[in-house]
Amino acid sequence: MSERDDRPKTPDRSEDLKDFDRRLSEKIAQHRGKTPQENDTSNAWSVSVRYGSGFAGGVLVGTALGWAADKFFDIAPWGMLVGLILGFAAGLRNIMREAAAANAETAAKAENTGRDAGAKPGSDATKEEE
Amino acid sequence: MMMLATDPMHQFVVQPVLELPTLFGIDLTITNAALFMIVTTLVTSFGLIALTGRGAMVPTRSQSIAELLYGFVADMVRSIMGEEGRKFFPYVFTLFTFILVANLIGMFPGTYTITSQLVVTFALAMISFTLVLITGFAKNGFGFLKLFAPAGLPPLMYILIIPIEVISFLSRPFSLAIRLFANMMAGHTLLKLFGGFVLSLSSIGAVGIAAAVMPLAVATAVTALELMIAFLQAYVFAVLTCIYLNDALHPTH
Repeated sequence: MSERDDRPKTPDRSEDLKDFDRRLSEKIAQHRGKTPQENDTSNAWSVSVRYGSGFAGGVLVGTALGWAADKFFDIAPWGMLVGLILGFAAGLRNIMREAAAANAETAAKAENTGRDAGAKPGSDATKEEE
Repeated sequence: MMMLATDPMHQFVVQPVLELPTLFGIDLTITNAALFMIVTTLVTSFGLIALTGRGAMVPTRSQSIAELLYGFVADMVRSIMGEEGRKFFPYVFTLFTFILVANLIGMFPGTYTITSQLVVTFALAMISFTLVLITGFAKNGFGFLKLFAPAGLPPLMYILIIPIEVISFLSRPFSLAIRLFANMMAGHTLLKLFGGFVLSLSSIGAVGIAAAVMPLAVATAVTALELMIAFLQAYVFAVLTCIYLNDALHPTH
């Protein structure tokens, strides 16, 4: 294996390498451009799970903390009541954060597709999604 | 037997496959879930060793798969956390490949999808969360708590905002865990459900077999969707871990 790499580099071969380098960097640039797009293959189901899990997590943790406060400070039912409401608010906060991120993503994508309109093969699908 | 084959939830039952004695109060019995966790670890480790073993300068086809995977995660870590995030790369890479391989192994018929168990995803989420806490306090000390108090609010609002932000922060591992678990479990239930339709329809004769084409087509489409979700959810888990770690590195809002 190593023998092949140690071959003397004729000018011909270095041209080859330069060409390879050029093609490689083109591919890398393409790949970089593609990476953010991978986000928006989200379908309706995964979007709903994203919001749902954020909200459920908030309510769950809020209620659990309230319940723990009830246990330790003996203030039932106030801890759980306040915890539930705060958890509700935290869940909504999570959803708002997700929505803001999704909005920013859409905005960035719109800017991208506006710049090189229709150049990418996948751009039709992304337009449909918006 | 028929009931067993068409029950869509049967696939999630944890059963012992190898009875082992209890040692120091820990039951060492290998269940199907534990077995597939071991399989996932082995496939990931030996798979990557086999793919990159030769380490050629110009990568072979198999080596470039591993390099693509490496580059993908490295790009992700760099784009979210910058150069500072480099020390977290091994963790994020491990997490991503473990979830990805676990999800993909679950796509084979007869295997057990370990990421469809809430305990497993919650354990993974708690590892990430603990890492975030340790990083946050080690890097910023108590300045990490600034994360809970967004700047530029009237002082009265902080009484309300800080508890909400704390709960929102504590809910992160839960939403991470629920997200992966719900996606995997729902997808596999759906697959099994349509597979069951095919089975029960085709058992009622020629008309049934003709009608079974439809659920079969849906099951095929869902399989394709599931393969995408398998990748996407591993990606989402890793990206969110990166975002949370970035919060821990730079806690100011």
